[in-house]
Amino acid sequence: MLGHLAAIVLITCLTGCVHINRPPIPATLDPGNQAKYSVDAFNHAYTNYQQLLQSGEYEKAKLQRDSIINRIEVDVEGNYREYEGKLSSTRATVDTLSDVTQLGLSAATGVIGNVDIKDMLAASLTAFKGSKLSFDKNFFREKTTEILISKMQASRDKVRNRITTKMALPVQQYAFEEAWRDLVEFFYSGTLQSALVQLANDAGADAAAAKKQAETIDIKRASTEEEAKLAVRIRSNFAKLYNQALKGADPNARADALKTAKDAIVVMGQGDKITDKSTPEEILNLLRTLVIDSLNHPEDIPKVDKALTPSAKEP
Amino acid sequence: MATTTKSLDGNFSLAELQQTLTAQENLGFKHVTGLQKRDAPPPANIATFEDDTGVDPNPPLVIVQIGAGADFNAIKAGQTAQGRALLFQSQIFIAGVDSSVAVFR
Repeated sequence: MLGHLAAIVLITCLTGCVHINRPPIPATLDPGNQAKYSVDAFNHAYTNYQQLLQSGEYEKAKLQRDSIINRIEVDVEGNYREYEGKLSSTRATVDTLSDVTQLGLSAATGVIGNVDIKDMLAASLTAFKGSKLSFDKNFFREKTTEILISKMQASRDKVRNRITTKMALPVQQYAFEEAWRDLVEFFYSGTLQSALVQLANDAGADAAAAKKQAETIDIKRASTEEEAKLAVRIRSNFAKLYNQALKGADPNARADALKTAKDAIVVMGQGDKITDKSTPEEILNLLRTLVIDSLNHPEDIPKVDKALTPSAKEP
Repeated sequence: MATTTKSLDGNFSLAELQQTLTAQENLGFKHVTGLQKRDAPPPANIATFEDDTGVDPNPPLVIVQIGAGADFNAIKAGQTAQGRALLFQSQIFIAGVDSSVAVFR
């Protein structure tokens, strides 16, 4: 039991007294020191900004606006990083203490002979496990700290990028008051509640997208018997033309096949896509693409068949 | 060789399904490698296609419905005698009804 208590004290000291999750913060970056943007400094800067606006000195007002935004961002950023570190360490401490307590209770239950005390310890262990689960469930919705932090960072980056983009705008288009609102959103996007809401929204959006995908039907119209027959003939004629034009031994037969392919492309209204410089491979590949396209336009299938069937082209 | 899937209306008749797959194979330069019913409503079948390696047409696709009490081995023997090989056997929707089929080529 003494060892158990010593372990708790040691863990508390390691996680609370000593920073094991970050190095010391430089004074200029520490929001608790001079980097902190005081309300007085803010009020002074804001008054100056308004005066510059009233006097029509928009460039100077923009500089003042950007300065205020940046100073507030420094505070929000510094405080957020502290919060992020504390969130991780606090939860790790709770988890570790919980593990140690559970191990201690389990060990004690095993070694104690008195049945009543054994039962009391077992009941305490069950209650403790339940409390820990409740803590995880109610405060963290059973999400890992890493997932929550990742979501907070993503939300913050999104808002910060928006602010940075808008800062390129003149004060007439992006007044400080609008930036103020964005900064409030920037602050709240780095909170546990925001991360949990965002995760719930993402899960909802994913489920809706999956449902929509599941309900989608790519092919709602069945091919007719005639279309299926034509499809077989088109494919057969295309293969003959392709093999003759690209692999035929007789140069005259190759040239004839290539001319047939070009004529077919013209008949299909795509003649402008071939030039004198088009290679036989390019011409045949274009024709192949047009054949594939007819799947999306079944009304074109007879036209494609006619263009590829030598006898069908005869008057 | 790319693999693609397409969902087809589960209310197609057997003939319509075969015609549609024949058109898809021949005009799309690909061949069916799988066909199965989709669990999520509305009734649909998911066809899996592989791109053809060349341009020459594939032998025709034949879908045979295996009715209740039908002898699958007899069906298979009949198709094999006609020079067709069994591709796969699966559960699909035919005219909106859950059915067992064997697909040959």
